[in-house]
Parts: sequence; structure tokens; C-alpha cells
Amino acid sequence: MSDAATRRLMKELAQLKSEAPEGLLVDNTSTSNDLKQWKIGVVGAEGTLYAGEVFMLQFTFGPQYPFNSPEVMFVGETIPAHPHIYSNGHICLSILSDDWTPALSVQSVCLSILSMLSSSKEKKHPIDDAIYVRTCSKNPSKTRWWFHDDSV
Amino acid sequence: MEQQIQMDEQENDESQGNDDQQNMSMSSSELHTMQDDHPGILLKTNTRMSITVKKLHVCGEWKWLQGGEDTCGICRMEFESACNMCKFPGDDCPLVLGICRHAFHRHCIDKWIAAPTNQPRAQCPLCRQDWTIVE
Ligand SMILES: [Zn+2]
Ligand SMILES: [Zn+2]
Ligand SMILES: [Zn+2]
Repeated sequence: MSDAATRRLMKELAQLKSEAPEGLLVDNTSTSNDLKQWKIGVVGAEGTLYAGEVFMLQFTFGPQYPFNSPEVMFVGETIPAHPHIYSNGHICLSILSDDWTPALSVQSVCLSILSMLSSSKEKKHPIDDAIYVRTCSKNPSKTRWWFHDDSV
Repeated sequence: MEQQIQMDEQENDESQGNDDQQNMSMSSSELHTMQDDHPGILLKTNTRMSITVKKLHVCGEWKWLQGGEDTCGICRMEFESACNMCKFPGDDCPLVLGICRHAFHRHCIDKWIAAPTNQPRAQCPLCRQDWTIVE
């Protein structure tokens, strides 16, 4: 972890703890001591297929953060069934790879993923889920097959 | 993300409004050509009257929507202080302004422009327009 990455993550954490937006769960156990790994709870919004369900998002930061995107995936018992989320927790979201910019943050990523959940019309993993999960890279940032489909 | 982009566009509009501040006093004839469909101004009452605006002075106000008012959108440090890669407050760490009107520490934006993820064209981290510094 570089000093600069740590300093930015400390700012993000302080802000998230003091004013966490609705739907995000952050507490003192959310981050590892070196800030390299975070686990943020996200709560499905009212009136959506995932209303009230709580899922865990795991962030892993490299030394080049925020110039490189963090690795972001769902972890834990329940992985949301969603056309852009594989059953191993990997997420197809362009801002997590090609469309990342250093102005994005843990908070904006969490909110993008929440809005992705909210717009879902079907609780279903991607159609290539079985093959993907067996053959995918361990790095979730390499997940980028579905970006052309913005309708979901 | 869409929402964010819309916000950024709005921000741009506002900042342009700010730029145009000095050019906004129009002559009444200019105003009339703008309102050919509705000569005069329609008010939401039963009373109608025709108003000719002789002089209009528009002021715009804008602020950074991301990262607070005076902070760099990349490192989140205040513009007054150095970026978070500079070890000492006295280090030379100037600000640069893009043609999109977004400002960053030079060290921060230079590092982003050089990042492999941002090739082949450098884009503004806040609005994704091509990044060009205002000379
Ligand atoms: Zn900066
Ligand atoms: Zn600097
Ligand atoms: Zn910009």
C-alpha cells in the first residue's frame, strides 16, 4: 500500500463512517488494519426485487489506488442472483474495469452496484454462469463480457 | 453512473453560465427574436402584460459536485494543500484547469494521464471529456 493510497482511503473511510448513505452498512469491522481490504454491506432498496436483503461487497485495493480500480466482488453466504452478477460473486460493471476513473470511490461504486440491483427485473445469474465460474480468472476486474448490454 | 454523468453535465452548464456572465446583457431586440413564438411574457395569472426586458444581468454560481467544494477529485485533498503524493506542504504542487473547467493538482492529473488504464486518450476523471489544459 502506498502512502498516497492509504491517505485517500482514510479520507473515504472517515466520510463513509460519518455520513453513510442509505443502503450502505459500514462499521469498525469493515476494514482490515492496513485498509487494503474492505467489506461493505449493501441493503436492497425498498420496492425492488432485493428489498431488505443484505449482501456483502468486498473491496481489495492495490498500491496504485485510485489510479487503478479496486477489485470488487460479492462475498459471503448470499450472492445476489442478477443478470450481471456471477454466482462466485464477480460483477460485470464497466466502472470496475475499463470505465474506472480516480474520481470514483468506494461510496460511488457501492451506490452504482445498488442501483444495478434496483433496476433488475429478474433474479437470475448470467446465462454463461456455469462455464464462467469454472474458467474465470481469480481477479474480478477481468470480468467484462456483458458491457454492451446496458438494458439491465 | 448515468446519474453521475448527468450531474457532471449540469455542472458544466453552470460553469459555462458563469463564463458568459459578462456577455449576458442583451438588447431588447435580441430578446424579441428569442421569443418570436410568444411576444411578451406569459404570466400564470389572468392578467396579461407585455414586458420588454431592456437589460438582463445574469449571475451564475457553481461548485464542485464531487469531493467537496475545494478538494481535488483525485486525491481528495484541499486545493490549498499539496496533493497526497507530496511529502511536504512546501513542495511545489500547482493546480491545473482543464477546458472542461475541472481542476486537479498537476501531480494527480499527470499520474492519471500516464496510467495504463487511461489509454489511448486521456479523459477528465470527473466528466470523461478529453482532457486538455486551459493555457
Ligand atoms: Zn490531487
Ligand atoms: Zn503534489
Ligand atoms: Zn472535466
